[in-house]
Formats: sequence, C-alpha cells, structure tokens
Amino acid sequence: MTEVKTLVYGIYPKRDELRIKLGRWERGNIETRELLESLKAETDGAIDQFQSEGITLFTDPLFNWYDFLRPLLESLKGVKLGPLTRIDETNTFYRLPVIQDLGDILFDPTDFGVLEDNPPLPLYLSAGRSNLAFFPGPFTVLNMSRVEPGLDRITLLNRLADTYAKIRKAAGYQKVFLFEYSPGKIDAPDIYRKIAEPENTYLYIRGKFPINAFRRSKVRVESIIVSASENSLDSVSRYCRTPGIQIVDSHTTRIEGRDEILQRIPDTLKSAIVTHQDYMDFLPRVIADQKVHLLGGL
Amino acid sequence: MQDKLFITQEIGSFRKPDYLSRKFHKIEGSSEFFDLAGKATLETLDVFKRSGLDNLGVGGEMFRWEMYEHLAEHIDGVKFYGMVRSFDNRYYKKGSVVSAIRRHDSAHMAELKFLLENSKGELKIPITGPYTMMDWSFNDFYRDRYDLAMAYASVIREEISDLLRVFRAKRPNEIMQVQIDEPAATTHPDEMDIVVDSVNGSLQGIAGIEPTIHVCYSRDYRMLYDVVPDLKVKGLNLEFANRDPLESGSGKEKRTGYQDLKYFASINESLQEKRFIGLGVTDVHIDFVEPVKLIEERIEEAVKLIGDPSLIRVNPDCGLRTRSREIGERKLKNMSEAVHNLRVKYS
Repeated sequence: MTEVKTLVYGIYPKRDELRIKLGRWERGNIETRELLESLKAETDGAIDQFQSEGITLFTDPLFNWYDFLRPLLESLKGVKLGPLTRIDETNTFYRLPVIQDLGDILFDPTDFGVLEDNPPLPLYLSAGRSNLAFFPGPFTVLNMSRVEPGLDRITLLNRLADTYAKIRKAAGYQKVFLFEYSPGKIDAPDIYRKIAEPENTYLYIRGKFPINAFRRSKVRVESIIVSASENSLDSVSRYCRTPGIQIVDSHTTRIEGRDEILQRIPDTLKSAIVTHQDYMDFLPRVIADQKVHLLGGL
Repeated sequence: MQDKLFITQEIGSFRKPDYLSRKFHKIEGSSEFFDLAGKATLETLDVFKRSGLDNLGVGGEMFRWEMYEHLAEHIDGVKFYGMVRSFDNRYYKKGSVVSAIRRHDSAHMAELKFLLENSKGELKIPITGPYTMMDWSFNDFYRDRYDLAMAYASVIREEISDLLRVFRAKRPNEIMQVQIDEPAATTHPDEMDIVVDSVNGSLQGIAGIEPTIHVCYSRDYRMLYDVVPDLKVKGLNLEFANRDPLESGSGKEKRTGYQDLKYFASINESLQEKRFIGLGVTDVHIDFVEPVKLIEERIEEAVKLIGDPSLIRVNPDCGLRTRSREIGERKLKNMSEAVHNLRVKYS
C-alpha cells in the first residue's frame, strides 16, 4: 500500500466577494489597507480549509498574485512588465516580464508594499501557516519572459536562485515549491540547490522529466512532481525521495472519483505525493473546493 | 453598397451608455431592459451614422454583455459554476458542458427584430463561433474537443437559420451578413481542422447569407490563411492595427503590422472565389486616435500587398467596447474620412 501525501499549490481561485473588492480597489473606491485586510482574511480562510480537508502540503493561495510570475518579478530590479500574453494554449493571460537585468529585491517581499498593476505585497499572506513557499521555476521564468540580448542565461539563473533563497529565508520558510510550468530546457538543475536544502525542495515539472540533465548533475530533491502518463515514476524516483504525481485535472469541472485517482498511483511506490495537474485558478472556486476535498479524502 | 471601395464596417461591440451598463444584470430580460437596450442601440446607430460607417452592424451589441456568456445562456447542457480569470482581475463566466447541448431559444432574435423595426441601414450580425465556444467551455460531456465544437456548430446553424427567416420576411431583397467571431481560432495550432469543420458546419445548408469570420490577436495569422481555401466564408475581418507602429510612413519597414497580408494574397490569388479582408486600421486597446493620414497609409499598404482594392473592407481591430464612446466615435470618424479620401484617389 502506497503512503499518500497530498499537495495543493499555486494561485487558488478567489471567492466572488474578494474579486469584487479587488475591482473596487482598482477603481480607487477602497483604500489599499482595507484591501489588504480582506486578502488576509480570505487567505486565512483558505488555509483553514486546506487544513480541515486534511491536505498535507500547501503553498499560500496567492490571492494577491495577478499571475504566477508578476509580483515576484516586479519586486526585482531590472524587470519590467510587458504586454498581456496568453498562458500556453489557455484562455488566461499574463503580463510578459521583460528582463533587462536581474538585480536586488526592490521591496521587502514579506511586508506591506504597493506594486504597480498588482495587489499589494507581502508575497505570502500565509507565511507561518503554509508549509511551502511558492516560486515560479527559474527556467520557467526565463522561458516565459523576454530577456534582453546580451544577458548571460546561467548568470541570470544563478541570480534568481540566490534571490529566491533570500526571499525564502526572509519569509520564514524552509520548504519550497518550484513550479517549472514551461521550463524549456532544464540544463543546469544544480541551481536548485541554491534555493533550499534538497530535503526541502519540491520540484514540479510539466511535460517530460529531463532525466539526462539530472543524471549528469548531483542534485537530488525531496520530491519531483510529474505527470505519470508522460514519465516513468521509477526513473523519477532515482532523483528524489518521494515522487509526486500530477493527477487531479485543473482544466475540467468534472470531479474525478476517489477510486479513479487511487488507481493511477502505482502500487510499486512506497510513498507518493498526489496533486493537481496545474494550479487551480483555471477553475471556478466551487469546483476547486470539491477537488481539494477529493484530494484530502485520499 | 457592395460596389463601393473600402466599405467601412464595425466589428461588433461599442461601449454601453452608463444608464444601461449600470443596470444591465439587474434588469436583463425585463421590459425595462428592452427599453434601455433599444434606446442605447438607437443612440449607437446614430454614432455610427455620424461617423460615416457604411455598415452599422447591430448598433454596438447593446443587447449583449459578453460574447461567450450571451450565447451560452441560451443553450441547455451548459452549466455555470462561477467565474474564471481571463487576466488580472478580469473574469468571465466559463460554462461547463455537462450534457448534450441544445439551443432553448434564440440569443440574437430580440436584437435583430429591434434593428429590423428601427433601422434601415446595412447590418452585420456577429455571432460567437463554434470553435471559440468550445475552447472557452469546460468539456465534461463530449468525447473530445472536435465533437463539442461540432455540437456548438449545430446550435449556431439553427440560430442563423432562424435569424435568416425573420430577416428575409422584412428585407427579402437583401443578403443577411453574419460574422462568425472566432478570437480563439488560432490558439491551438494543431486544431485548425476543427476550426474549419466547425465554422463550415455552422453555415452548412444555409443559402442567401454573406458569412465572414472575425479573428483577433492571433500569434500567427498564417495558420488561418492556410485554411482559407477550405473555409466557406466570403471574407476575414482581422485585427492588424494593434501590431503596427503608430508612426506615420509607408512601405514594409514602416507598416510592419500588415506584412503578412502578402502571404494571404499568395493563397487568395489561387482561389476562384476570392476572399476579402476586413482590415483592422484602428487599435481598440489604446485611446490614441489614429490620424487620418496613418489610416490611409495602412489601407494603402494593404492595397499594395493584396493588389485588388475591391478585396478590402475597413474596420476597427475588434469591438470598440474597450474605449469610451467619445474615443470610439473619433476613431470611427477618422477611419471614414481616410476611406473617403482614398475612394477619391482610387475611383
């Protein structure tokens, strides 16, 4: 029998009340402080919900992130926001980061701060309650940004990893969730070691696991979370302590059956982390809640 | 009208007056709603006439709130669980297809009847296309995306047939223009066959209409141009201004946003029945009002690339609901003035 841990990560859909409040804040009808209070209350509610559903691992629900790159990258010197750009083949858009350099952190990411075109900081409203710090994977950041010519890719990756480590420590997290949603080529996985200790690193990779790059490197992490239909979990297991499986579909409102999920966890695994395929913000809140309930009941 | 060069047209939506937008959801379906939507339609038709548009469309879609939701709400089998993010804090009601879909009443009939009673101008009815309806829905029922798109095609075919019956009774000697809105058409490069089959399926067996397709903000229109020979439409109304610089000038270095029309022309010239291009000449996402000269340069660049000016109609990139009514009107006026100048030149 496989020991199952469950994970909820990334931007979680907000309730209508908060969405409407954000609209009022955008129009200047309410003060930023008032919005921040609402964001904190909504975040606390979501964390209570994840805990009461029995979810083992979870990130902040990121209710103040307009997309999964923006507030973090906006906090760094040398990054500007570019045009709205479609996220892969979805009908959801993000602001393309334009990287002219990657310098120091401009704002204290753990404290109240006003950003342009995004709700206010802190980056993690549930710091101290959620157990994983969410970061867009460094390779994904570069792949989903416009990088000005002449900048050295490996230098940028290293700076990003160093900055992530600083933010993680400042926010009081030991564990990190690295979201390699669209990494392009992961050719230098050793940079992950700069962000957190291997036993505290949970690495999500969409698509094919880059087995050759990991074979060449010395990096081993706590968990590598992949799609079982595209990857051999046995191979992935060689590079982590607990393989993770992207199972629950975040792009359909159909609620999967418990048995349907359990059948997709190979018996050969001693333990596994079970999670959703993509972050939940592509779903209406009521459906996301049902999917969390399903995960919690595994 | 069809003999004119550079026919000017609207793409669909126009900003609603405050008295309608503030109350829209609260009164939708009531007699007050029809009164206010009718009033707003007449006012918008006046704006279009003042601006010099040849084709008045449906008066700015005052009877509709959002293109997906408007049609989906008239279809059984589509269930709404809540809002889903499009970008930033902008959300839309994304429906879930939970059973076989079937139209329970017409989404556009009230609007059409109002226009037929109150306007004598040329009109073009925008209808959200089957591929976009499919792409913007959760599919919890059909076997795959193809089957769902084709199911939407059946619904839309039925809708167009009903609209045509009413249109013909009132205007027996006119051709009904239908614009299939497909903003999602080129978002999945490997699904262009679904776009073609579902759009054609929406029009199958319906004679006596002029069907066009509207696509905007595509990463690459060449995907669309490649399937033009298979698409049973008369023209393509497309966004270009958004991808073109605002500085005045002529030639391929200056008018970069229009250069892929060369590829369109190479495909179009092989067709027995040539398609026209509805040329987006004004950007609906900025308040900058494109000067007449810049619009003339854009149209002339298209003439150079396409060759035949009779294959060009002129329109904004997309619906102007994103701009204030004042800015929208100024953009349309400049568009009409540019066309007026070029008609003199090319006649």
